[in-house]
Amino acid sequence: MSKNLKCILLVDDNHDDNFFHEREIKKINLKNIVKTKNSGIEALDYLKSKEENEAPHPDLIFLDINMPGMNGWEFLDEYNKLDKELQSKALIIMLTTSQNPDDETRAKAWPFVSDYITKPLTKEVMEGIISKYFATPVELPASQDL
Amino acid sequence: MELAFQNEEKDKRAAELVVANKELAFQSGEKEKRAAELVIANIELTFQNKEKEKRAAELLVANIELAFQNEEKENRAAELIIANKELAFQNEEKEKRAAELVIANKELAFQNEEKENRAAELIVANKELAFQNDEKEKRAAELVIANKELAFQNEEKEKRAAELIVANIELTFQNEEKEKRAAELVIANTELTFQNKEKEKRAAELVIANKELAFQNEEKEKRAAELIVANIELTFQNEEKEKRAAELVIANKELAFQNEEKEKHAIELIIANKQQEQIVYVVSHDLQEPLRTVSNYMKVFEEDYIGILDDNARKYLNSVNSATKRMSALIKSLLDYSRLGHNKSLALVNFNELVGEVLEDLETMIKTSKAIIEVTELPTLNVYETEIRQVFQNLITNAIKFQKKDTLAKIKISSKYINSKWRFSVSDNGIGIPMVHSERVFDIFQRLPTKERYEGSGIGLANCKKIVQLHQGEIWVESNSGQGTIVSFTIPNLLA
Repeated sequence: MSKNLKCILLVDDNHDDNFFHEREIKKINLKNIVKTKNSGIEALDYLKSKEENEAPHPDLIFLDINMPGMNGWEFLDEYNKLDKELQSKALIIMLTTSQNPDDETRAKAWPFVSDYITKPLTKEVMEGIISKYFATPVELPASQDL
Repeated sequence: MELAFQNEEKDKRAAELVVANKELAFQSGEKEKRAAELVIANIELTFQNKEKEKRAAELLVANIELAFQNEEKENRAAELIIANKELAFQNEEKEKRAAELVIANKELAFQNEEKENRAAELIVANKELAFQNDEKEKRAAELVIANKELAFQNEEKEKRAAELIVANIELTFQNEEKEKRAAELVIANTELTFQNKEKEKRAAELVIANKELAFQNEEKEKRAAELIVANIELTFQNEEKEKRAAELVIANKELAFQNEEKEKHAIELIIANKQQEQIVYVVSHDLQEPLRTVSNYMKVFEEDYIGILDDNARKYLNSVNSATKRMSALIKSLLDYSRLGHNKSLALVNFNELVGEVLEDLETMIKTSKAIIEVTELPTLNVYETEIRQVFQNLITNAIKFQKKDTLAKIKISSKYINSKWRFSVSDNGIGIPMVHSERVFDIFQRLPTKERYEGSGIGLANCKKIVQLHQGEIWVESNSGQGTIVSFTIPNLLA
C-alpha cells in the first residue's frame, strides 16, 4: 500500500496519551490532519458519517484496546462489517499498553490490521510507519503556519 | 560089587525095619496102655478113644503087614541074590541104569526121610486134631446157640430186608434224584469252582488293593492331619486378613476422601494459579499506563522546558526518567514471568543447536567480554523450546555478567544422564554466590549485594526456576570450588 497520508485517526480514551501521540506525530511536520476519538463507537460513527463532514477519510487509524464502551476488539468486529471499499481506504495499527503477545496475535488475525505497537508512539516509530506503509514524502515544514 | 553092597545095605535096612517093627510093637503096647489110660482119664472122650483104638488096631494090622512085608523083602532079597546073578549080565545095562537109580534112590531116600518127618508131624497133628476136636465141640455148642440167635436174627434180617427193599426202592429213586441233583451240582460246582477261582483272583487283587488302600489311608490320614494344622493356620491368617481387609477398607475410604480433597485442592490451585496470573497480567498492564504517562510528560519537560531548568532540576529529571524506565522494565519482566509456560507445547529440541543459537544471539556480549565458552555433547529432548532457550540465555548471560574484574570468563556447559533425568550444568569462574543465598537467588526480583554494580532486574533465575519446574525438574546452585558458580538443572524424559 503506497499512498499519501493525509488524515490520521487516534482512537483512545486516554487524553494524556492522545496529547503525547499527536505531539509526536506533528514533529514530523506532515501536512495532515490528526483526528481523535475517545471510544470505538465514536470512531465508528465518525467513519460511517464521513460524507456528511468535510474532513477527509483517515488513511491510518491508531487503535487502542482498553476503552470504555466499545473497546478495540469490538471496534474491529464492527469495522469488519463496513463496506469493503470503506475498509480499503485506511490501514489500522494497534497502539496499546498491552505487551501481551496473545493480543498481538489476536489483532493481526484481522486482514485490515497492519501492525501492533506498544505505547508510547514516538516520532521515530511514526517515521518507521510512514516509510513502511506510505509514499508521502516528508514535506518540509516551510509551508506550515505555526 | 555095587550090587552086593546095595544088597548088604538093603539087608541092613531090613534089619533095621525089623528093629523098628519091634519098636513099633512096643510102642503099640505103650499106646494100648495109653489108650487104657485115656479111657480112664477121659470117659467123655470114649467115642474118640474107640476111634483111636480102631486106629491103633489098624496100626497093629499095618504093623503086621509091615512085618509080613519085611519077610517078603527078605524073600525078595534072596530072590534078588538069585536075580542078581541073572542081573549080572544085565549089570552093564543096569550100571547105566544104576546111575539113574542112584539119583532115584537118593530121591527115594529123601522121600523116605520126608515120610518119616511126615509121620512125626502127623503125630503132632494128631495131638493138634485132638485139641481141635475139643475146641470144635465147644464151638459146636456155641454154634447151636449162635444158630438160634442167627435164626432169630435171620427173621429180623428178613423183616429188615423187606424194609430195606422198600427203603432201597426209595433210596434208588432218591439216588436218581440225587444223581440228577449231583449232575446239576457238578455243573454248579464247576461254575462255582470257576467263580471261586475268579473270586480268589479277585480276592488276591482286593488284598493287594486293600494293602494299597490301607497305605493310602495312612497317607491320607497323615495328610489330613497336616491339612488340619494348615487349616488352623489358614483360618488364623484369614482372620488376620479379614481384620487387615477391614482396616484397609477404612484406610481406602480415608484415602478416597483424601484423594477427593486433593483433587478439590488441585482444582483450587489451578484456579488460584490462573487467577494469580490474571492478576499479575492486569496489574502489570495497569501499572504501565500511569508509568508511561509519567515518562511521557518527563519527555515533554525535557523537550519544552529544559532551557528554564537549572542543573539540579535537570539531574532530578534524569533520575525520574531512569527510575520510570527501570520500573517499566520490572513490570515487563513481571508480565513475562507470569506468562511463562502459556500456550506451551513440547517439541523435540537438539540442545547443542539450541545453545549454539543462544551463543549467536549473545555474540556481541561474548566478544566484548572475551569469555571462553565450552559446550560438551548435549542431548535431544522434548522441552518447551522458547522457555529452555530463555534459561540458557539467562544462565550464560549471568555467567558472563557476574565476572571478576580483570579476569576472563571461562564458562562450561555440560550434561549428564542421572536417575532417568538429564542434568545440565553451567559453570563459571565468576564472583560466585555465597551458599547462604543459594535459595534466595531464585526468588523474583532478588539481587544479591555485591561490591560492584551489575545491570539486571533480578528476575533471570526466578524465570529459570519457573521454567525448570514447568519441565518437572529442579534447579540449584553450587559453589565451583570457591572459584565461581555452577548452576545445574534437571529435565526428565517428557513425552511430546
